Amino acid sequence: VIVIGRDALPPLLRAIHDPPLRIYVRGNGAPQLLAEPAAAIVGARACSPYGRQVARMLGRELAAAGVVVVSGLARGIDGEAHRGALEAGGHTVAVLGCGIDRDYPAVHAALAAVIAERSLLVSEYEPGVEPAPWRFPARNRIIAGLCAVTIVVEARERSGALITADFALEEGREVFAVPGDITSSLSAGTNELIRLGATPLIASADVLEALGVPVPAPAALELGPTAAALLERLPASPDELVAACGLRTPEVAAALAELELLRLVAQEEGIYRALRTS
Amino acid sequence: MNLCACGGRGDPNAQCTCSAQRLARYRDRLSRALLDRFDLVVAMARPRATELAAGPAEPSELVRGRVCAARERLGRAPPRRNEAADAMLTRAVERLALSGRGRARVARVAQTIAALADADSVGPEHVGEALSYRVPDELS
Repeated sequence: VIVIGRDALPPLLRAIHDPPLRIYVRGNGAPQLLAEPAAAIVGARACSPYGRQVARMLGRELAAAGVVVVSGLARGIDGEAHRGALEAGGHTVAVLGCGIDRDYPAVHAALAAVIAERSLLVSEYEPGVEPAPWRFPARNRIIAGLCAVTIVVEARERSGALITADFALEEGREVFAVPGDITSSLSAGTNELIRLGATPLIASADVLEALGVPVPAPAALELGPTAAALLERLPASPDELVAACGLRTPEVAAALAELELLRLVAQEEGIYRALRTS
Repeated sequence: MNLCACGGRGDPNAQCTCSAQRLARYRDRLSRALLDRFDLVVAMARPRATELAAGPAEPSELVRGRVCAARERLGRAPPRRNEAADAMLTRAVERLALSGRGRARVARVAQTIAALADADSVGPEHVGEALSYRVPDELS
């Protein structure tokens, strides 16, 4: 664990109106990581499959382009964003709302260990400090403070993720919100952010442009005709694809498995979704 | 099983009201080790009124004929995986978190699917279909 005093904080974090007195940093990543182009990805803990997959996809695509993915190690959106970044072999920073030595939540102890091995964990609390609900808003100001861009993937009204977005807006940082179903209460907070002026996130390239990071050329794909046709129809269940495309169940299942192995789709709760923005 | 305790998950006409902790507790009731032993996991949408009102589907007698023929085939000359099927299975082990048992299960299910389709060998389409029946990651 190293301690960084207020004067040595990364520039973006030092610039917020109430920067922490010091931060504790743990992990094998270089402390300079905290000064690199970074995007916060935050959202609901009890997220939907849509939110989970979008968070994973954004974490992966941004990290692959060299952006540091910052989040709060919570269940749901936070954890998926960290995992996506790790999956891409990129860097991700977890900001804790408890002492730097604590693994909270316990279900993410293994994830925290991988992040410590490859990147960094950050906290303004000294070792031993217990997690407490009132510390999480303060933690959110550090998440937003470290990043030029904050992305809210899914949030109910009055979600903690909206507090992170508020901090980002107060500091004049860019806020993106992932548009969602208007009938889903999990997208009520994000859709409201868009109504209030946040940029709707349509593609990860928009975030890269906002950060001034070069957008990597999309990889060329060699897909069979069945797989390409199915990709156009997502999200859908296998049964719906069978009905919509006039194919047999085995053909659809095989094509979906092919797409899944290419990490182009993911299945959750019986629904397959594309893992790329169209 | 339902996807969550309140029964709202996966139903487009309902909203899930479970908290993250409640959801995790519900899913923890089935251990990963147990789920690993399931050959077929199929997500079923809540049937719509029109589907409930529809007449009976394929009679079991016809299905029985297919199953008996496949069983006989598996006992006599089980289809073997071809090269493309092997390659797909290897890729699946690398990409998905398949255990040794999981791999063996997928291989067996693929063989059964090929036998039911009366195919000469187990092809990638059979492996693909078998993979689509494994336990999705979010339940683990």
